[in-house]
Amino acid sequence: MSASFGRISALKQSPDLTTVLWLLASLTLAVAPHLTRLPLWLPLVFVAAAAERLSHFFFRRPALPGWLRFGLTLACLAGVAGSYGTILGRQAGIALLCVMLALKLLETYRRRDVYLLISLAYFVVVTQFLFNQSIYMSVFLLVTVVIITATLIVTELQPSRERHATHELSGLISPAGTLRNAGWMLLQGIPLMIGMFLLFPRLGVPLWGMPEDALYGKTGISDRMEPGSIRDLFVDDSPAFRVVFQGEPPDQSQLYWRGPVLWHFDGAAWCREAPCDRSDRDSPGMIGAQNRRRPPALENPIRYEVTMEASQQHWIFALDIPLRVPAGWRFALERDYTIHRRRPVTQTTVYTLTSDPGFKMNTRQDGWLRNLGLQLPPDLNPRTREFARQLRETHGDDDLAIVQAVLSRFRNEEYFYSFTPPPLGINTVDDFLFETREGYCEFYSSSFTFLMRAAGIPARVVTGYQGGLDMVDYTLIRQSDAHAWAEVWLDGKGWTRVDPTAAVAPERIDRGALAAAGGRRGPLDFEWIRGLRNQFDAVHRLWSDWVVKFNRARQRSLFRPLGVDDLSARFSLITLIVLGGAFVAVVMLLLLRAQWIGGLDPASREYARFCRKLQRSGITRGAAEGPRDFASRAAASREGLAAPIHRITDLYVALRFQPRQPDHALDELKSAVRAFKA
Amino acid sequence: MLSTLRKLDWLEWSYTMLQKFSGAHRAPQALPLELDRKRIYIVPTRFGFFFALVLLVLLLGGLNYNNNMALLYTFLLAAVALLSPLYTVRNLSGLRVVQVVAPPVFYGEVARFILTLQNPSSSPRPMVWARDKQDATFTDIEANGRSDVSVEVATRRRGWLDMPRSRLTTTYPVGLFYAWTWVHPPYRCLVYPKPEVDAPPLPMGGQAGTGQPERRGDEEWAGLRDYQPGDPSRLIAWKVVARTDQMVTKTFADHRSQELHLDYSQIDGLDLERRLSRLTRWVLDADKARLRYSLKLPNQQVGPDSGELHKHQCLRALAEYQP
Repeated sequence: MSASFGRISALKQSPDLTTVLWLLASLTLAVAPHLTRLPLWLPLVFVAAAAERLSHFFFRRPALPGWLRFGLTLACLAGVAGSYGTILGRQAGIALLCVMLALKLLETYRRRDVYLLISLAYFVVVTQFLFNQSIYMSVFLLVTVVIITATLIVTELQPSRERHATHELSGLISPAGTLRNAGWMLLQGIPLMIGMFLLFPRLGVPLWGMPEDALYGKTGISDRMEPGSIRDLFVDDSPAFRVVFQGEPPDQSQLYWRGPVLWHFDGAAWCREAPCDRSDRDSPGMIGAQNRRRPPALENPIRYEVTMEASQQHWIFALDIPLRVPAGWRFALERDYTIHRRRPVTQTTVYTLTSDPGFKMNTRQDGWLRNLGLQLPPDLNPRTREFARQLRETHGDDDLAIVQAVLSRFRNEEYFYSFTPPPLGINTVDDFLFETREGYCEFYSSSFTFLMRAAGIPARVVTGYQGGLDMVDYTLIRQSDAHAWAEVWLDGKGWTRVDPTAAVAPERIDRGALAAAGGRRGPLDFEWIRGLRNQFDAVHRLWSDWVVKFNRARQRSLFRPLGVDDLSARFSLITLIVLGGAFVAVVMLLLLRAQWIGGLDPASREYARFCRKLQRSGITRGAAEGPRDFASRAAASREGLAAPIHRITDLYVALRFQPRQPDHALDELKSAVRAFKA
Repeated sequence: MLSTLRKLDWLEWSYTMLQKFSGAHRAPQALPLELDRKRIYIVPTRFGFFFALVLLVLLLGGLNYNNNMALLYTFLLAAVALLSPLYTVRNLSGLRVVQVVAPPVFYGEVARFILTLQNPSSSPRPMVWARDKQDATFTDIEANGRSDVSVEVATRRRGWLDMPRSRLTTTYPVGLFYAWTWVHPPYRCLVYPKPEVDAPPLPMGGQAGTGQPERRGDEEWAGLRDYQPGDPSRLIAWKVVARTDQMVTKTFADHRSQELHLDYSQIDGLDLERRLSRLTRWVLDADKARLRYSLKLPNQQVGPDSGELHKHQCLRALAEYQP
């Protein structure tokens, strides 16, 4: 008799094969998104550990000896240190976490080891959000969490599984049943999660500093332009920033989004200031901020709000030409109208700017900037220098004529716009201007600026984005809109934008880089896919607005319409507790109600339905009234219904109180109750 | 550290705290006993506390880096953790203890109170444990089904053993919370005296004074058995001993009256419990040999009779005997 009891000794046993398989699935899913960032040997360690653990179930082998596990731990530590040069920092930290998971797997003997691994798996999942907060990743991780939670249930049910080795318990033990239960629990948690998300007090300032590499991600345009750096962006359709104009958006051809201005050319790369391999870019640099005491009068101001994606850069993008930047020390409008941010853009950032496309920059020549705009690397590109000398001879002092001569050369001679230009030699400008004559904005702006400087006209390269996709209520600028153009200083006009690429491929400016290159960028690049992607950007924007960018300010603005002006931490916590408590109470009621209703056996449920029908017609069953008494009373008051009332009662009584009723008896009762009309 | 079910000593503190609220003072409950939601108590397990710590770390990280996805994720896990006790309570709530059976055991064995749990709801109730302080067993109860668990108690003396106040517990579904309710139905288990080991043979022949059957003329040869200390030397089969080097005793059976009288007062020189222990052994032996026998205690006489029922009556008399 006692043989049928599950014994407590089941708990002392190590996890069974089912638990370990679920655990492995959880860990694999949790680690998988990190794979590209982990050194190659680490997944191998993980797989080996998993194989070792599984082998216990198929071959009776002793566990690995302690000294071997200790040695492995040291080796893996050394491996991480060797791969990253450190065991600190975010990347190395995650690698360490994965190593710990793999090694812990080797000694998963008891239930508490399983719990530790599951906790670590939950933790690894969250580290993924340091890299990626997109919708796709969130959905993937949600699936992962369902599986990890299911693993908890699987662990809990292990003794039961061992006891019912041969048969299943109501689908609870089956993988599908476990997943359903876990999914259902998480689904019920979502309202509570949203409540906590909206109400939980946020920090205005971080408690501790960010790790150096805390926010690593896409960079987009930087303050350094070298061959190929922009081309890599052309294939990247991810958003760089979104703009909401106050008023009508300007014409497409006016949408030049000004980024860092590049002054220094070392023959290969353009950068903001010499030398090009300088790395301490946190300082504002020697260009320096504008004198803000007399802000210029605005003739044709355009105000707009920019929502910039994290770029890890100090540079802010603005419509040409930015004149008003957000007040405060964090933003600086420099003398060349580049906007520098004191801290890099490590998370989605919103700022409001004012620009005036007709503004004339530095109409009075600034000697120092002029010299900066004439810098050339010594000795390189002799043919171009010679060509510039000829231009100067032909046109005399007329700088504008020289500019136009070069532009018309680009326009009228055999120059091509292409994403796949032939390689250039050491004299990049010579090779491009006179030999290959094929390239994209980077090549044209670089060569043009060099040529101007060689001719004695101050010139500089401006990087940024050009164009933008009208999404009706906002304008989307993607990384693939990256562009580079030139500015020359002309007497009386100041620094003037010249886009040599437009001379070669005007459609680049009208229709975007892709149209200009005349073709697809990849095998899957069709118009409708791009359309779909653009539509999906609207979803992404909602996600970005309400999830990724949600912060203290938005939290406050959310509650202001509700009359909560000062959202204190105490207020949000109290509201949270009240609402959360109410929600938990509702769930409890639902769970127990299901129990009360479901608590009846099927026959009683049908009979209760029958009683409700009678009750509606005024015949109520007394609390202590037996079914048969009730039937005779009901039949007496409703004589026309006597037959069905007695039939239902007989069926119910038989089902309820007489053993071994045929299977169809319940169906008969059901249909009789359904057909019954009081 | 995370083991939730094995070592629950640390929870004893909370039990003590909650004991006065938790039905300890209530009188034993009659069957059928429904597990009322209001009498189900719940505390986090060790894993529950550890999980809370993990959540706290995640929360601080998410808040510090203003990483909203990390926060959403943390809140989702927290929501699940907050809802899980409802599931845990529900796993016990509404169950009914419809029957308790406690088969008699001998002193020294483990007494089992077998509780039949009925699940009147349409959701199955897996992993329901029954435990007292020493041991625990679990069962799974199908939807609208019933199943048994046993509360196991070590026996400390013969006589009636009351079912201790026991817990029905569960940590289903995720092991973060431990829910329990007290069950204390008025059931008891009969503990027979421990049968004596190496007891002398049955006192055949009606007068069980020394426990040695006397040889008489009308007895017939009944066979040999292993020597036991105290057998009279004239009954030892010396020829067999010489041949096999084993001490063997001759036995004789009385065919005229196979009625065996086991009399408490005829056993000398032993204390009460050892006498009862020897009588228990003899009752078992007599029953095994399918003899008719009677048991005479100072305050009552059982039999003569034979069969299972008679055996239990005798053993019960022995178990209950108080001088």
